[in-house]
Amino acid sequence: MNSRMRKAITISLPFIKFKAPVLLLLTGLLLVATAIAASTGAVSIPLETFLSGDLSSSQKAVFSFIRLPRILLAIIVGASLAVSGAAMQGLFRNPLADPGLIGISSGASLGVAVVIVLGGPITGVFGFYSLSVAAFVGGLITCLLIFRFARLNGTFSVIYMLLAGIAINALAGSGTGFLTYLSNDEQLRSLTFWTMGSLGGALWPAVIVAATVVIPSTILLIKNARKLNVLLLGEQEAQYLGIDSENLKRIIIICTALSVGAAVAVSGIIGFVGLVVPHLIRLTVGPDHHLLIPASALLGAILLLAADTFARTIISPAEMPVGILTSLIGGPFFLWLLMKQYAGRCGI
Amino acid sequence: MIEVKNLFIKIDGKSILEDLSARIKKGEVTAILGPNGSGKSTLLRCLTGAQKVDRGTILLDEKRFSDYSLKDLSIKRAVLSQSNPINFPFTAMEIVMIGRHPHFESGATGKNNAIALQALESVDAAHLSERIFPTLSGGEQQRVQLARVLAQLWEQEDAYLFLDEPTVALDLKHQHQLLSHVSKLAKEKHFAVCVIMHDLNLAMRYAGQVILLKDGKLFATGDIATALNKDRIEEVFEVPGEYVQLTRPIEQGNR
Amino acid sequence: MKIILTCSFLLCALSAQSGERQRMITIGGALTEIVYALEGESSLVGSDTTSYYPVEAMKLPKVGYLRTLSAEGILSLNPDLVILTDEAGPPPVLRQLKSAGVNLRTLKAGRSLDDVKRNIKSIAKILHREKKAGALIRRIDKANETLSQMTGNTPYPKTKKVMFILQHGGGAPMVAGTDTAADSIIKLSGAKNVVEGYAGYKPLTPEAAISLNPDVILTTIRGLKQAGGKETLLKNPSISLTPAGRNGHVIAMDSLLLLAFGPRTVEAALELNQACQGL
Repeated sequence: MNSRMRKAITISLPFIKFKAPVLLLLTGLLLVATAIAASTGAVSIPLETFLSGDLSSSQKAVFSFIRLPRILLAIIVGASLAVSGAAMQGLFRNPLADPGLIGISSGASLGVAVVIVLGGPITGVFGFYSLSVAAFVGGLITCLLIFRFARLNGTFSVIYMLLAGIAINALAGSGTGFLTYLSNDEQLRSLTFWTMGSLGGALWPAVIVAATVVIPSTILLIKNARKLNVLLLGEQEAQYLGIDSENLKRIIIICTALSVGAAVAVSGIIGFVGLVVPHLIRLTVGPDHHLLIPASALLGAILLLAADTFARTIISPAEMPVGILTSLIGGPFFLWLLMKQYAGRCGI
Repeated sequence: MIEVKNLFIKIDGKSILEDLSARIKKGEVTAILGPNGSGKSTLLRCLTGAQKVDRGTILLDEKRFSDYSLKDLSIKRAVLSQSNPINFPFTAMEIVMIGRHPHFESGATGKNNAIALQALESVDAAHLSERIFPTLSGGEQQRVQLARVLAQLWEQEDAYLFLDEPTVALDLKHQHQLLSHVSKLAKEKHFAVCVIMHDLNLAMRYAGQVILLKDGKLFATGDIATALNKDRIEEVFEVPGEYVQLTRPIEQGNR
Repeated sequence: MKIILTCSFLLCALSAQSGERQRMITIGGALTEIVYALEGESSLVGSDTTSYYPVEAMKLPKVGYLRTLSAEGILSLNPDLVILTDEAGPPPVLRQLKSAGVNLRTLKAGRSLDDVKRNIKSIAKILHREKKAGALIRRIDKANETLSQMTGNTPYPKTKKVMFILQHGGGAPMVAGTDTAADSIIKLSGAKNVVEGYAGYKPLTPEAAISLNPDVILTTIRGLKQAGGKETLLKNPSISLTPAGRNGHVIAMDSLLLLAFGPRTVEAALELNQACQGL
């Protein structure tokens, strides 16, 4: 028995030992991606010049007002989307869930469509941030509605949430559709581009607002990661294991809604990251949320930063909507990993 | 001890349990028996504190459930529910570790790890520890889940263990292994073990006490050897009494 | 024989008259403008929502936006002829109209003065107003001469570099490349489009907007409004770090006037030229 036990321990060790290296590796990769992103762009700022600090005033201005906020925003938004995706998949106990289920994207799209197509006073008051404000408000209202319907009978039901989500997403979608129908060419174009996502609007205020929402939400989700593991056994089981699942579900939804709401508000709809980054992590290091959530944050940041660096350089001076690229980079990679790894650590 | 007094449960206007009084004693295995729809699972949910009680009282060690925090309860009792699908590629080991969740703050990871392994060992599933849980067979999953529940109460004494049809997916060998293991826990660690079962022969062999339900009402309770007889079986289960071996094989049952 | 001749003469006269009074719909602001410029508006029974100049054109029954036409809406006005730009659509609706027996006349959307003149001639032919057309074209040519003199007077280095922003929602501004109406009007006005790297309207990387060094930001009145006004636009680093942004050189013009390539195009180019020189 003793030798058998020891054997089992050595087998289980890689998982425990793996944790630190994975996070370290991802942090390293993020630093590299940041360095590359910082030295790439339409305005040439070579890394050596940058490191020597010998920048011309226009280079300085471009770097500090455009490139740096954009890099930070890519990191924040990427992390937010990936972490929220992981949390949603845990909450719904379904590896195919994504933040879209709680209505953020559809609500945000509707808000943006209202501003773009009907325009008017909102645009004037908030100026450049009118789209962000509209997206954030639209996303949160939809999410609140879904949340409200999910707890009609007193306790909060994930199934009701899913069903209410489908209905309310459809409603928001029809609203957006109607506004799309009313729109002219230019409005249609900006609506379409918005739904493909862009980090071009990375201004400092946007970065700061996004950071103040995303960072605390992410920390709170990481803190609740172990509980999320327990929730995967089932809500009742979680209760038996001493977890107030009602409260946990609320925390997860609120954190995700705020975090994704902020991300969508500043960047439009960037697909793929929220769904697939947690998968990539799960396929390589397993589904333990304690590791999954921080690792997803890092990988989400890396993926979006890389995609955005491509997006703004690949067809320079024009830029590609980054949502197209996240799918373009992530999709094939994911398929490859799927074929390679799923035989070993199959989940669905 | 759990003491149930005049318990009434209504769900969606339908009466599920009516005026039920019973006791779950420590140091013994209590079998909850009865035909489908007789209220067994609802009773179990009441006993674990998961079901809100409309009328009547349930006292766990002389205190109401509302006097316990979820955390206190999680250290005092564990529940193996009927299988809940898990869609994520956890290893068996990771699943059992989740059972240690109430002890993460106090215990070191290494210690919890060792306990999880011992728990797997105890259900004859140590060899499954690195296997991916959703790829295991139904019976293997059931044993891993049991290990998870056992791990939750591993170092406890006087705890409560609830099992809802734990033998369903198991082969004959593991059915007996499971029940003899939990009856040993009842004896050695003074657990109160409460099991919903359908196999009356198994119940006769391993349980000391019985709660026999019919249509939401208590039909009989007490020492299983005296509470179960041919007439009662025929009336409750509507099968010929000869189907059940009523002589209690004492020497195995008290192992 | 005489009777037959008289009859056929009468018939001809009648058909000529009914030609005068045919029921016409124009799809495309520039085409509607041309009809008004040729004083043929009495035959117009409808137009699309991009036809808002001259003011009277706004009173015409509207059959919708030129790219999202509906067959029934057009048929309800019972037109003999629909004149539309090649941008109009969607194609299935056009096919429906054709199969419903509506006479469709598609004209190329203008990108140059020659296009404008050609469209004027085509419409004049339909309206039997060739004389008016001749006068209108002469007016355009004359104005163009003035324009050429003015642009010719500007030595090359002084040529303003213009960036046309269709929209700026705070992210990447949607900027006109080559092969756009904006590109044509900028060149016509004697200025230079800063974007040469791509064709069509594309979102421009904010950094690229700065490295292109535009002297002037050109946009439409609606585009400026959507961007939150001039002040807001100038606050965005993708604008504020350019020479145009530093000096507040933002010109906003009506989109129909600026981009439609109708009878007022030379006026628009003159106006743009003046605005650029005046900065």
